[in-house]
Parts: sequence; C-alpha cells; structure tokens
Amino acid sequence: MGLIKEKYEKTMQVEGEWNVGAYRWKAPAGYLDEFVRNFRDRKITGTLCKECGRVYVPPREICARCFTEITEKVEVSQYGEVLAFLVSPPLQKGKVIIAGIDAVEAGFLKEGERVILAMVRFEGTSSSMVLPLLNVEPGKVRVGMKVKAVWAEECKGVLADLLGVKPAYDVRFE
Amino acid sequence: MRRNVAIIGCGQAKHGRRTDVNQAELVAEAVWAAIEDAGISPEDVEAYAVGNMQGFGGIAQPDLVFADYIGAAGKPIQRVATGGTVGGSTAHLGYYEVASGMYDVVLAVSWEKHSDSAEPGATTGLLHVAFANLSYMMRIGMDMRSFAIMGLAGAAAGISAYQAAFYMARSGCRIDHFDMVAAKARRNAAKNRYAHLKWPGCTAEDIAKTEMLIWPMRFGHVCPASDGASCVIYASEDAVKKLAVERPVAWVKGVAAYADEEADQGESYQGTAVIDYSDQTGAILSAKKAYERAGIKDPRKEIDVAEIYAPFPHQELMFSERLGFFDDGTAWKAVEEGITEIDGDFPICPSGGVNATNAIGSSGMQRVVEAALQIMGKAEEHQVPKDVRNAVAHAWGGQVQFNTIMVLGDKPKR
Ligand SMILES: [Zn+2]
Repeated sequence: MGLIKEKYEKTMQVEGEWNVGAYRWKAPAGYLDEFVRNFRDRKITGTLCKECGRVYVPPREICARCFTEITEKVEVSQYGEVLAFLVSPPLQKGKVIIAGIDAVEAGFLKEGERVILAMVRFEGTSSSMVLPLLNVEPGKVRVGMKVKAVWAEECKGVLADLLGVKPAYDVRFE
Repeated sequence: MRRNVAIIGCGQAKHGRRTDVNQAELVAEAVWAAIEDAGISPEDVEAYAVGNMQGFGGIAQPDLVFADYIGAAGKPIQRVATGGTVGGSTAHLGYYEVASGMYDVVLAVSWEKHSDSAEPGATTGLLHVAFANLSYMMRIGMDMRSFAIMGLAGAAAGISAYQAAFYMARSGCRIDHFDMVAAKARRNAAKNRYAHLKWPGCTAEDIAKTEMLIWPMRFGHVCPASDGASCVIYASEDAVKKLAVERPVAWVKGVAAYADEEADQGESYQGTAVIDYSDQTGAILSAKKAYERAGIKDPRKEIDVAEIYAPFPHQELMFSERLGFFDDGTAWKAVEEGITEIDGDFPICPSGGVNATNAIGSSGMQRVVEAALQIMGKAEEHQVPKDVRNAVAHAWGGQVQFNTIMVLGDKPKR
C-alpha cells in the first residue's frame, strides 16, 4: 500500500479534447420522424398499443409493458395536465454552462428568466413529456393544472415547433 | 440448489476527495482492509468481481491497471458497469459466484474516483450516458434553447428533481422534510470515519438556508461527488467454518434485482408509460422477491436497519415506502417522529448514506458493507443501539429504473 502515493500531492491532469464525432449511433428510424413532421400541422401524434390500450406520446414502436409491436397511430389532444414541475432560480450569466457554452451569455436563455419545466400528460395518453411551462408565474403552478400546447409562429416540422405548454383557461375539465 | 453464503470481511477506503492516491491505490485500500477484516490471506481469494462506471473517473478499462494491486493477477475476474447500481450489481455478482458453487471465496470490490475528472461525472461519464439521446433530439430538430433548458435540469439530478416533485405531490410532504432527511445524513456521516460530508449537529434549518438550485431541490439536498472504494469478501458455508473462526459474519439471505421502464421519455425520445417517477415498480418488485427469498414476511417488523441508496433526500423517503418499511406516502411522518434516526425504532442510513458520500461505483457496495457491519456489530460510532438480526442494502441506477436489493442476516437461511 502507498507505493506511489508519496510522489503525488494531487492527481495528475491531462488537458485535452475529445472528438465525440467519433461515435455512430443508430437511432430508431421512422415513427419519430413522422411525429415531428406532424408538428408542421400542429398535430401531436402518438402510438396506440392494441394489447393494453396505452397511448404513447412521444410514440414508441414497441409497448414496453406488453412487448408487442405497435402499428396504430393516433392523434391526441392539445390539452393536458401538469404531473410534476421544476422551477429554476432567476438565471444569471456564468450559472448555466452546457457543453462549455454559457447559455445566458449565448442568448439561449434570458438573464433573470425563471424557467418552469413541467411533466405534461396530454389528454388520453398514458405517458408524459417534459415541456417548458409558459405564461405563468412560478407561484401559481399546481400539480393537476390544465395546460395547452404552445406552437411556434411558423412550424417547420421539427422538435422545436412545440415551444411548451401554457395554462388552459379556456376549457373546463370535470 | 443455491448454497448459503456469508460476508466474512468488509473494507472501505476513506471517502472524500482523494487526490493523495491513484485509482489502483484507492481500490487496494478497500481490498486490503477487507482481507484484513476477514482474517484471510490474498491466496484464499479464488475469484474477483469488480465494478466501476466507465468514464466517470476517466479510465475505460480500470481493471487493467489494478489487478496486481489487489492480488487478482492470474485469477478469474469479472467487471460490472451498470451506472448507479454498479456497487449493488457487483455485490450480487460476487454472491452468485459463491451461491452457485462456482467458487468458495470471492472478493467483490467497486469504486469511483470522481476527482480524476475535471467536472465530476459531467464531462466524461454523463456524456457517455446522455449524448446519444441528445444528439438524436438535435437531429429531429431540438433547438439550442431547449438544449439549454434540458441542461438546466441536468441529468441524474434533473430526473431526481422531477421525482422529488412527483413524490411531494403523491405524499403531501414538504421541502422541509427533505431538509430533515439531509440534516440526518450529515449528522450520521459525522459519526462515520469513512464518510465525506460530515456536519455534527446539522439541523434542518441549516439545510434550509442553502440556495435553491432548482425547485424543489436545494444545494443542501445534493450528494457530493466523492472518491472511494468498498469491498466485501464472500465465503460459502463450508469456507466460513474453515476461515472465519470466531469472527462475526453476515449471511446473505435474499437478493433480487428488477428493472422498470425508463422514466423521462425513455431512450431516444420514445414515450414511456412511467407517468410518476416516484412509483418505482422496479424497487417494489426487487424488495418483494428478495424478502420472499429471505423468508421475510413483514419487513417493517423483521428488518432492523436499512441502507437505502438515496443521493437525494426524497429518495430515502420514497424508497423506504417502496421497500415496505412504511405505507405509501407516509415516510415523512416517520421522519418527523424521529423513527429513522440512528437510535430510532427503524434506523435508515445510519452511515450517513449516499446523500453524504457518493463515489458512484462504491455507493451500492457501501450499502452492503454498512448493512453487514451493522449485523456484525462493527459499525463503531454509528452502530445502531439495538440487536440487528436482519438488514437491507438497496441500490438504484440507470434512469432510476434499475434496482438491487440484498437482505443480510445474522444467521444463515434454513
Ligand atoms: Zn401494451
């Protein structure tokens, strides 16, 4: 024991960069592409497992509970409910560093902004999505709150078209 | 037919920021402590089970550099890399090897050395974990703002923050209950010479003063990134008779490991039917099966102490319910009543747990070590002041969907 440790005051560090482009991943092809393509028409589509009746949004091609292939596609409601949520503190420069980039400095997030992230279950689905919750004060967010999809002004059929959800004051659920 | 297996020796490295040793020396510290504790010589060890999460400490094949440090050169060895469950899975592997009759004496060790990575876990390890998903989401048109927002909630802590929010909604507990659990972890850790974040006399009010990172999680709720290693030595019943004369041992009575669906939208943005991260079906199934194998019918009565893998305080509450110690949504009441304190009726994480010490690979194994020490009566200052006949060690990993459970006892299962 301790054969070498006397030699070092601290662990050695080697400066360097990794080329993550060296990886090649195979992503599931097809049904997710269709899911985001439908965002162009402001439609949320999921897949329906005929065995157990679960509706998955985002879609799955195999039901994880039944282990059967899902072929049925369904359009789901734009309305949903908040299952859980997180609230960020007011964002500051130098606090949110992602992949080496200061997200506030770079303008992806606004100085002083408080981001609310919600787990949203769209009506009729059996799964949830993480989406930003917009147009509401953090103190007013409640679990079970009814929300509605918010779309980009111009939808291009990409993931970013679905900006998030906002409180759905215009509908009532029993 | 599986054989009875005992843990005859335990060892831990001092956990914390260990820039005084390299990975091989860190692992050796725990291994030699266990060999000494078991009172055996390295020649008695027939095979090795080793565990480490690749990338978190910057080495992809760590078993290559330390085999000779721990006496494994020229002996059978297997490595496990299952994320947070590394330690739990490695402990299971060592047990299987003896229970199956393959070997009579097996050493299981697992570790993590986060300080070898510039940003503990984040730049190296988590890129391995998350990059495939993120790059896929970029391909289907995620913008930089969404990317930044995802980063805000950040990986394991992010999933755990959602889980904490789910648990609050489900159980009706408040953030001050998380403060109480975190304060208990720091206080207990102060009594454990191997622990990292020690804070004698820490109160819930002390934790409540720390910065809110992302609601509902405060800085004081978050586990540290530690360096450390934990080790156990297993022996078959015959070998126990031969090797462990007069020494206290801890018998493995039941193990189980189950997976549930991945939470948080699943792999590569696929949907998942997990709509409540605090459900934890995998933990429920693991506990049920492990108790069945151990012959335990009422865990609350028959188990005397539990080491739960809880890097974040709500997880101690949530898992203590899923493991059958308290009814769903009621664990926070037990905390209010002091039931889970070291000297309480049902002590949980008397070692200070993962919330005070988290060297990821080591953490799961450390739960096994701590449970064994409680049974052997060798937990020193954090020994619970009651007879310990059965103890439970739990670990979770992946996207909080893998769970391992080991039930230990003072007597072999008949
Ligand atoms: Zn199904």
